[in-house]
Amino acid sequence: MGQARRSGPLEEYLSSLALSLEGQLDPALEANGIYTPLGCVARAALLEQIGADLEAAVRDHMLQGVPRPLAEQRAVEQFGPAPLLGRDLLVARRRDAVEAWQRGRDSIWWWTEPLVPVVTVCGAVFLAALAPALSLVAGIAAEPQLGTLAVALVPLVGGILVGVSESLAGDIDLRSHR
Amino acid sequence: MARAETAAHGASGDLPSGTTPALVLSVLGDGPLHGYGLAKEIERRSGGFFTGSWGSLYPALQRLESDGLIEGVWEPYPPGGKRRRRVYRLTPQGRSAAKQAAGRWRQFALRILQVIGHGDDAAQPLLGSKRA
Repeated sequence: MGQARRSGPLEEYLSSLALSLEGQLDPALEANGIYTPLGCVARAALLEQIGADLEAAVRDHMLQGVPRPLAEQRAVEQFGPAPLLGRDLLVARRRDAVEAWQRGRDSIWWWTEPLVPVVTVCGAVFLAALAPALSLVAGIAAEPQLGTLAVALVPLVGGILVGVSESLAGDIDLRSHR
Repeated sequence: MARAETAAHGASGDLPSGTTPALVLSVLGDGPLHGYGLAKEIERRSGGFFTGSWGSLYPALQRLESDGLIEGVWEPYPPGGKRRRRVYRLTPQGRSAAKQAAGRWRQFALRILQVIGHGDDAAQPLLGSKRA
């Protein structure tokens, strides 16, 4: 890795593996906001690790008198098909997300999952709209003489609640697109 | 020679599904190793039987590492060299998981032998020693 060398079975194997690690595991996952391709650092680490182990395998074959091209061919055969290895590595790295997604698909309530953020935002907006009136009624009921104070507090409380609901809606939006 | 025997018997050399974590934990119990070293050690201990698809080790290593049963560290090779390889060792949790896995697989193998080795002369000494 990192140094120029001729193209051979080893380089082809690692290129194919790199491509697999950039791929999406299942298009249905993407529709649900789960992105399985690994980050470039994680990909580079895996490729370095497997490249080093492949080199060790090649060296073992060469010590037995096998010429380098044939030794590389044998080593990559021993490691199995690169796309399959890449897919298994993606599954292993994204296990939590994939398992959660599969659990969701197995449940009869899977279709309600996309509705959760919508219902939460609607609830937050409804509360924010209702809160000023409620605080006004509560203020007058608690202290009729200081009703003017309650009225003055309405914009403040309303503003706070609207701000909270907006930040909550922003969080939910970010989470669903992560 | 062992490889020739395997080929002669037409047996598969791939690691059976679900066995890899137990094999990895067991081999790492004897000391740290890198992925290729693990594959070679599993092949050696199995008398050359498990020779195929070494790539299947890496997803298992990823899972065991994320479960905290093993830890991987980058070590330069050759010592002092610029290149690195990832060496794995058992964590304390991994050590206890290795013991549990070994116990489970011994029981499992014994029960399988009891079922399929019933009346098999070759299996009787193994079953007899366990019964005793």
